[in-house]
Amino acid sequence: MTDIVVPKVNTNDESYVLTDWLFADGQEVPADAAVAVLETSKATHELVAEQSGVLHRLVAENAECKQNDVIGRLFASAAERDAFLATERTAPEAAGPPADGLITDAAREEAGRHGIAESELLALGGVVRVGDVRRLVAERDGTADRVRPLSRHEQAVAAVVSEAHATVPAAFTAVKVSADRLRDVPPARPAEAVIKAIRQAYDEFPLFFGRLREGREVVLPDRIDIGVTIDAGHGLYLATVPDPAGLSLSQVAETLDRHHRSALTGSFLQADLDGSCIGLSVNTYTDVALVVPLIFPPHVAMVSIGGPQRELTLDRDGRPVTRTVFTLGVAYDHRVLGGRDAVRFLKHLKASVENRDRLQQWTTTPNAKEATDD
Amino acid sequence: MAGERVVEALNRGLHDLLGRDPGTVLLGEDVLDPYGGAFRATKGLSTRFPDQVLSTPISENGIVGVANGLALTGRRVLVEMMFGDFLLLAFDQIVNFAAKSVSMYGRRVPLRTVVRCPVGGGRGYGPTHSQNPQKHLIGVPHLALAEMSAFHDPRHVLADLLDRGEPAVFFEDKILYTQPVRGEGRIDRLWVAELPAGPLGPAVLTTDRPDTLDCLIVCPGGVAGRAMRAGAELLLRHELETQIIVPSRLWPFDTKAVLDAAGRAAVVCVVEDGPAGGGWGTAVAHELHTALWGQLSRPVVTVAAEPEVIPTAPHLEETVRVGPEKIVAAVREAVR
Repeated sequence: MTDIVVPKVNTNDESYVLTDWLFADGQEVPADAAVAVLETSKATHELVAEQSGVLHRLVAENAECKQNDVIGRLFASAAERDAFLATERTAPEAAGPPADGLITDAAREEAGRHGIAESELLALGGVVRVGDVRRLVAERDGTADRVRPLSRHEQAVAAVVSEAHATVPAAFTAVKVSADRLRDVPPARPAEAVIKAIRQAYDEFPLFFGRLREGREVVLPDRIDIGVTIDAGHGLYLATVPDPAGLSLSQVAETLDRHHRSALTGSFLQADLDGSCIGLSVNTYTDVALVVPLIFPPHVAMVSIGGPQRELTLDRDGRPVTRTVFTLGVAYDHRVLGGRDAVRFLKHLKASVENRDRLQQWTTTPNAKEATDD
Repeated sequence: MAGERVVEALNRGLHDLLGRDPGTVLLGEDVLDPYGGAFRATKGLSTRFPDQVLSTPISENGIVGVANGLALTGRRVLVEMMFGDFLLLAFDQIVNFAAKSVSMYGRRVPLRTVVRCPVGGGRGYGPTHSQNPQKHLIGVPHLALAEMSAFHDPRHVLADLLDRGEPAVFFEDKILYTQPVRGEGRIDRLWVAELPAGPLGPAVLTTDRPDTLDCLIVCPGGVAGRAMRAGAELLLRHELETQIIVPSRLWPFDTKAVLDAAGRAAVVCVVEDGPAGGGWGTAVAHELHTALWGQLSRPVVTVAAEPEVIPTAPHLEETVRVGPEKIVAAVREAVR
């Protein structure tokens, strides 16, 4: 038996087309006869049999073939051809059933972790993805009808908070802040004022805005953008308020409202989520007493505000009066910052938010000079 | 037709076009039998339609000039350029005569010249026989550009271009000639092709999860094979779900046909195999940015050939052409 091999016909083509077999399957081919015709992109080429034999075709007419492909065989006799065919199936000419046998790398890895054999994956049919393997695992351990897969965004959040938990040794301090002065300035909410106050604290407390590099030095930011937590039910986002020094309280509010709309429709732009150097966790629901946030690496601090709480206190004359307060906290990376820093930082924020003149000043858009002095 | 190759489908289409209207003529270098054109696209035409096929001297501006003159008399004219690189020699007749004649004479003058040209590398033909010159003709008023694909029947596409009453250029990636016609249906184990908007609309290539979409690749027919290999790698190596849209008409480009998929995809990647800068990809990206501003989560990614002369040596040629690896790298960088 000899193979009929595709020679190198020219240097240009990756492949040729076998346009014609010049002998039928099982027919005797004499030596030196042209047995098939190959077509290149520019010419046809006759393939000559070097010795005689009974033809067995492996490739159909009009099929594509490459240099060194075996396209057919020549047997010494018809009997030898029959014997050969009895033991070996011819190569299938059509591609296999749709998508069977395709397994993604992630699926293969996951299957390996759970001791699932490749044959079991192939039995699933189609392209096997990691989700298919997880479903298979869940079916086996009986949790299939109780599984709720995390969305891609939720998985990304999970990765960030795991990293925070594993890498940032955080401590936490909180103070009580009066919300009474906020009633006089739109939008009469604490988040916007706290964002302005955080920005204002930069000059005195730059380390809260830095990132720790290799445990030896803190790199300060080139832009003081503040990340604010937003969760509209489709997962947690840290959305960026670009440097608020140049923004009035209502402009900060507009930015937050825009982010809320994006969170509702899941249509954040990448730029909305990039580049903050400190975080603010906003949880201003009534009766939320205290929020201890996680720090989003590479940040070293995350400020938090809780919900409004009514309480009794004594006025200057010792008479009982009601006021509204909220808890202002800061989680901080204890490798960079200490408890004393945290208390001073919080008191600085508190003083701004409780200061009538400062709040009034923030209701108008600062001009460029004030913004840089701020 | 089962087992048909793209050049055979093209040849069949040309036979149909000359057969349906005895006034239709075809001009080009070496198009007569037995040679039948450098890539055999015109095989058999001069034998069957001896009065409609004209072999010309080597003078591209002259060839298109004669074609335009015939077209002005009301005839449909097909021109074969031996290589698309030589379009630049006929630039004046295409831009200043053919495209302008439509609207320059105070009344609309239909002008039915279609210039077909083999383009693209991968054959080792060197710097001046391997280019993709599409971008030089984008935005010429009254000039349509289309590109051959394995999914679109050239007969329908060429008939449409010939019947519009405005001149057109039809780009044929030379790698495609010897490849099998795909049409609609299953292509391989992964990809399925559809022509949801009919034989002239874009081909849509999907895998077994057509509804999940991480990446949309928009590319002309010559790049589609490389895009399919990139899509396979993105899925099997990185579990990123890709859809590919292959428009037949490059210009004017119908943005509507890709808006739905582009709005849903995390990454939109427009691929062309000409050098970057003022190209088709950036023009399409701009249309998408304009239409989907505020909806796209990141800028449209464009992938183009390296800004270099195309080398002859095959291993160097591959460093300049767009390959699947370059598409994969660009998409992964975008989702990182």
